[in-house]
Amino acid sequence: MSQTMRLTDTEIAQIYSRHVRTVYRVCYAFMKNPADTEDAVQETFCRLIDRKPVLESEEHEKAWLIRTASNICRNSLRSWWRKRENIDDYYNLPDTGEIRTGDTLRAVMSLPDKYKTPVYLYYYEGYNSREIAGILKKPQSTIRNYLHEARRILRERLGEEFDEE
Amino acid sequence: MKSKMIIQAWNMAEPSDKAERRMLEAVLEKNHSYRRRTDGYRILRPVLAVILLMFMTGITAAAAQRGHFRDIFSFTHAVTGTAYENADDEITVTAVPEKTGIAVTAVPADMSRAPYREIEEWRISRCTLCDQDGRIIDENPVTAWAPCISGTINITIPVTDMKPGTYRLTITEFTGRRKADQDLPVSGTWVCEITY
Repeated sequence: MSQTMRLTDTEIAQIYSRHVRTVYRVCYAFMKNPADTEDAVQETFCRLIDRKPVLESEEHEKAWLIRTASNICRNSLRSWWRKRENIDDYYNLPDTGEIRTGDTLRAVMSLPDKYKTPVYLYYYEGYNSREIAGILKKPQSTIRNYLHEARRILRERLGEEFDEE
Repeated sequence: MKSKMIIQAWNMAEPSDKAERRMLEAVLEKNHSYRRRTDGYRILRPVLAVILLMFMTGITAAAAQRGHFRDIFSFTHAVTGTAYENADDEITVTAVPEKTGIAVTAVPADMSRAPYREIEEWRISRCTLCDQDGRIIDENPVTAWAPCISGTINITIPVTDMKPGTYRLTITEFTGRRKADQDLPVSGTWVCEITY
């Protein structure tokens, strides 16, 4: 799919409906609350409008959105404004009732940022480490290390619940 | 088991229908504002290009017509002096033959401007006198310093034994001076026809 021209509302709505849930989950793993997640999701799609990347397929489109969403969230958490806030207050936001997180999701969300997207892509989206390396533009060995380390942390935190297959 | 747990867990992280609509509206609104902005630029772009071109041409034309100061550098790139260049249109030069030489009258157009208001005395430092066949009769003769009186500078180029005929005097540099200051070369090209 070529996107060198400006996208129409219909095209945007189609892309949005195809990928909003994926982008939302990636952002949620970083932002940990619905309000900031929504901001990051909007920013991700707005960047698609602004940058007009040439996307050859729906898979390419999805990979671009996942990578962009991860970068936006990381930059947002790294921002000066965030650093001024008390991180504990931020992590213990009151439950808005929109999303109820279980222990497993909380454990995934508490992983270091660099592990979150690979874990999501591997376990939820079912990509293998080679495909994840392609999506995130990182070496395959790095992705394998991330997954290995993430599994170790999750096993520590979730104990017997998180058994190997 | 592991994958199932994580899939189940992540299924919880899902936007509500309301949130999904809200985000889509915000994204589409951004697209509309982006369109308005880019449409505006599309119309403005050629207009801005023309204005910029006119502005730059104007600057170049103005720079070409007016004189300007320039630093003189030594071979070690140290600034060793200042020169004033491109003064062609700023000084009107006329020349008439006299018994003792050629009387040159130079009149700066605007005595209130630098460097003309600063210079106390002038002389001709580079000039060539040619006959009508183009042969050089004299080159860079030494002239005496002459004061600027009422905005007019009278300098005499000492040439003698001139045969009857038409000559061309080309002045390419005056030098100005004032007390306790370095001499200032003022360059340009002034051509005068002289008939003996």
